[in-house]
Amino acid sequence: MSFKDLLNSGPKVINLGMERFYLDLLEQEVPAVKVNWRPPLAKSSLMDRLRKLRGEEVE
Amino acid sequence: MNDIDKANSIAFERLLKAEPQIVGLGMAKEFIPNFGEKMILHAGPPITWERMSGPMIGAITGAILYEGWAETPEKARALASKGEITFEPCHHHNSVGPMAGIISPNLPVWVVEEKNSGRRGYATLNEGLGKVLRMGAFSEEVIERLNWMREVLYPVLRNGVRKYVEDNGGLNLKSLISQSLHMGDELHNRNRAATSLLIRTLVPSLIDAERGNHNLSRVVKFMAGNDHFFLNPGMAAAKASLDSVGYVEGSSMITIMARNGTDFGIQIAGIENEWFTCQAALPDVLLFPGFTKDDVNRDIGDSAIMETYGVGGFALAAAPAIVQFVGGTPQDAVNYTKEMYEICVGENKHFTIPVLNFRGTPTGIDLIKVVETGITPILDTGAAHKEAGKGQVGAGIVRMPSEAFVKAAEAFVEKYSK
Repeated sequence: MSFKDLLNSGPKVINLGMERFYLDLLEQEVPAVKVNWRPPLAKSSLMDRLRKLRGEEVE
Repeated sequence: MNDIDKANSIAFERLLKAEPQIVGLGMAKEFIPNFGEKMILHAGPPITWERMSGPMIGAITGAILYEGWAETPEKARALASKGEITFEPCHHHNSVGPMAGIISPNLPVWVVEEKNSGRRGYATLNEGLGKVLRMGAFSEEVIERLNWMREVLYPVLRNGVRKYVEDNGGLNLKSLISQSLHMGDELHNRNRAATSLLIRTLVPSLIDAERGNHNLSRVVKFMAGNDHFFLNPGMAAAKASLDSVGYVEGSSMITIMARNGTDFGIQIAGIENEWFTCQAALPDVLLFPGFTKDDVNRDIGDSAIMETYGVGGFALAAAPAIVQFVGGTPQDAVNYTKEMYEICVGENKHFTIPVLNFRGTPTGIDLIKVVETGITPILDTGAAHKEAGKGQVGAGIVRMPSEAFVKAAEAFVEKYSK
């Protein structure tokens, strides 16, 4: 999407995380989709070790 | 498929194959393995008397009075604090108990057997709502009800169940759970359909066994007047089924979630008999009139075994009417179930949800998925007053705290990275 398109048609928002941002957009009639995402519970070092155990490539 | 997925698949299939059946009723001290003479079992992970919450202390006080080990609540607490009574988790004795989860030697219990493994699960008879032992109440009416349950309810029900088992074999709880999910129950906070089905199943045998007993109608009325009567045998079914999974090398599937009112604890199939614990959640639930948030105790009970089994909060979409009791909308109930699919090993082929086109309930919580997604399990549970003796204050949805899952993940990595 070009900047001009954005100005003409308005933003289409995908909201990650805090639901309040998504609800505020809906109240202002901005089309938005909420993705139910949270950060992982564990530190990245533990997540890397878990991924390694599952045979995934870890950088 | 990697090794963890393979191990989880084995654990999941074992859980789905489990066939829990009621095979009888008996006194706790005669049936529950390794039950000591002056022993009281409690919900959740191990805890000392000094760290116990109000409702747990209240329920133990009540159990001591019920057993006749002390004459007054003060003497009961003094006895408990002297270390003369052994406290152990129900889970260490193949048992489960809702809320405080107290099992003392002379309480009658359901005996549930998983048909394939022969593993047994035990749970007491449900007392009803309000001022009851499991909510930490210990007044005279509580002890009188428990006495009536032992002297009147228990022998009649035991004989009826014995007759049923003689004529039909074990009473199939998996089938009852499966049917009740299609009748508006989720099997943790709504057991109305399952209780009705249990009564319908047992009444002919009760009449055959106890014809002429003037207590029979009182027994049936007691069961029919308590919508949660099925919860306890349902929990014993979940316990026996999850125990039948046993140790599975490499599996990150959770086999126990439990709370004692102070701590929350979990166990997983790939690390045998080890608790991973943290502080229990403070439930933000719908309160009964007259109570405030300050009255609510930390989360308590072995009833989280229902979610571990793939029902309860995980099957909330099957129970739109429950939102009147726990708050929210029917759409919220659907959303909770959908969210739980994200953290489970699979979908249950026996327990299905009509409103989701008979999709199987999310089953077999995967520790690694919980840690990766940041989504912790939700429970559909009751809440007790934080002061001993006050009873239930409300019910609602509670999300499990994350620290126990992180600790378990650290131990899992440590064990299997070697």
